[in-house]
Amino acid sequence: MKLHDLTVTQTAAGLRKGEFSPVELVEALLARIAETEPDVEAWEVVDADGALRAARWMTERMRERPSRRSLWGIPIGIKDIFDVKGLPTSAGFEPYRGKVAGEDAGMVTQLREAGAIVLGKTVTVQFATALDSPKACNPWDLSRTPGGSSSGSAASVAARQVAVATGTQTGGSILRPAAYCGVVGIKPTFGRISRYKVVPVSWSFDHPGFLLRSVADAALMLEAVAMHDPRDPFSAVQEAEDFVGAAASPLEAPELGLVMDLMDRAEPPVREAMEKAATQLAKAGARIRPIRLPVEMDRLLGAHFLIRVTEAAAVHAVQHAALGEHYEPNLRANIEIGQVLPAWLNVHSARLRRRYRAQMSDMFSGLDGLIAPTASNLPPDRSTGVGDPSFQVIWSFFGMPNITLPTGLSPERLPHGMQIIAPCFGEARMFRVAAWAESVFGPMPSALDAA
Amino acid sequence: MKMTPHMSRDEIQQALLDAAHNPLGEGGRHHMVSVAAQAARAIHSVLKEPLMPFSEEPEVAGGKIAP
Repeated sequence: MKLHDLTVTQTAAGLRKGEFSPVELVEALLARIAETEPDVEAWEVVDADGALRAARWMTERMRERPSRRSLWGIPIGIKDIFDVKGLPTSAGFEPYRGKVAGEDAGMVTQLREAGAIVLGKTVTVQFATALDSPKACNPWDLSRTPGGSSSGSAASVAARQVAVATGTQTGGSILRPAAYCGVVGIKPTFGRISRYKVVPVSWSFDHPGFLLRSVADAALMLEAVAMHDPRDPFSAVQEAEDFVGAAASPLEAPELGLVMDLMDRAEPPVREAMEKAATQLAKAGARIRPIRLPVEMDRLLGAHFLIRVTEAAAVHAVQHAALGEHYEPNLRANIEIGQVLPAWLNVHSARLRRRYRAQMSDMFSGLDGLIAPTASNLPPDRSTGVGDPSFQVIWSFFGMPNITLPTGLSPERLPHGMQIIAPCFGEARMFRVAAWAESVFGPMPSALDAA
Repeated sequence: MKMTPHMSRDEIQQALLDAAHNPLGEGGRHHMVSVAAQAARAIHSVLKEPLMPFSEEPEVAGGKIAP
């Protein structure tokens, strides 16, 4: 197996055993990027010098004394809305280009403390909010969107340029691109990961997370960064659990609720794929029962929209007034409409959210998790934007953790995925269910190398 | 901007378009119309729930607010 084909967990094991060095690994990934980037265009900046410098230092240190840090020598892509000291944070916004960060984001600090090597910054849609497809392409079909807003992160992991990249999700910006690109995406509970020095979209809903290629990797990465950060006022105080141990203990024959509201709205190829996936799980021992959202889905989407758009208007109020011409048109329209919405609508939506949270939590009663198609459709043509977020938004609205797994390929070789949803702070059980489901579905082929 | 819970979706959309500044000009008006339509759908949907205090919320001083 080539180094760029290894998952994070496999890479960490290989480094620990001395099968290859951090320098050999970084060089292999840089070669892979050089080979595939002209098609995929997943990176805003590749910091080859910085990554090699860190890798050389680590290689020297390993000769003296092996490190026990969980991510020692693991290269990672960072979505270009996180600050990385010494690199620009452009957020897809022209006036920010060349604006070099003086400090690492909270999540990046934790990644580095765990031993990770920043390989560069991955492409995002403008301010992780706009609807237009950015330059990044879907490695399964370059004419299709990789989804957004974590577009470059999903594309780079699918193209095996890197085994893991960070993402953020306000509506559906981790899980949807992950599903469209045939990789794993994890969005933990709201507040699990620090948002310090991350460009905000909407304070009530912004969740950092990861795009990667296995459930074990998702558990490893989350365990490394899930901690309280007093610099983020929304940071949760709950300690990380033994997520790695959870992912290593698959929950066989889980009891699952299949969310029919999403099945009803899924486009036919997605619905068929999800029915097939549910049948596979049932044959392997899962007990699956249909379940309905306790609240009309459109009302959840509506309340999320009204809070998000008014918060985004607040985020951009001053800057948009000064630099409006640099904003993408659909984002400008969102800001302008957000600025005139009556305040009582935001208050009402926030009250609805509080009210519905208890009802939504009741959905999990007697179940090990909920399952549903991750996205309503297969990755659409790039010209139509970054896809439909509605299947991911309802969980982001309540801060509930979810993870998407690839379930295979459509007849036209486009990936589809299944999401597993857990109640807040229920990641450990979610990983156990996901690890089992992953073993049922089997591995995904490589997007660029498969025939 | 005048907006009440009893307005139709179309009326809400028009009220938003009337109130909002359109920096995109006529050529970009379809972006404003699209977002206003999405907002009107959202507003219409959340207003199916009454604005009065919910039963699980504390009673407000002076008793229930008249509808």
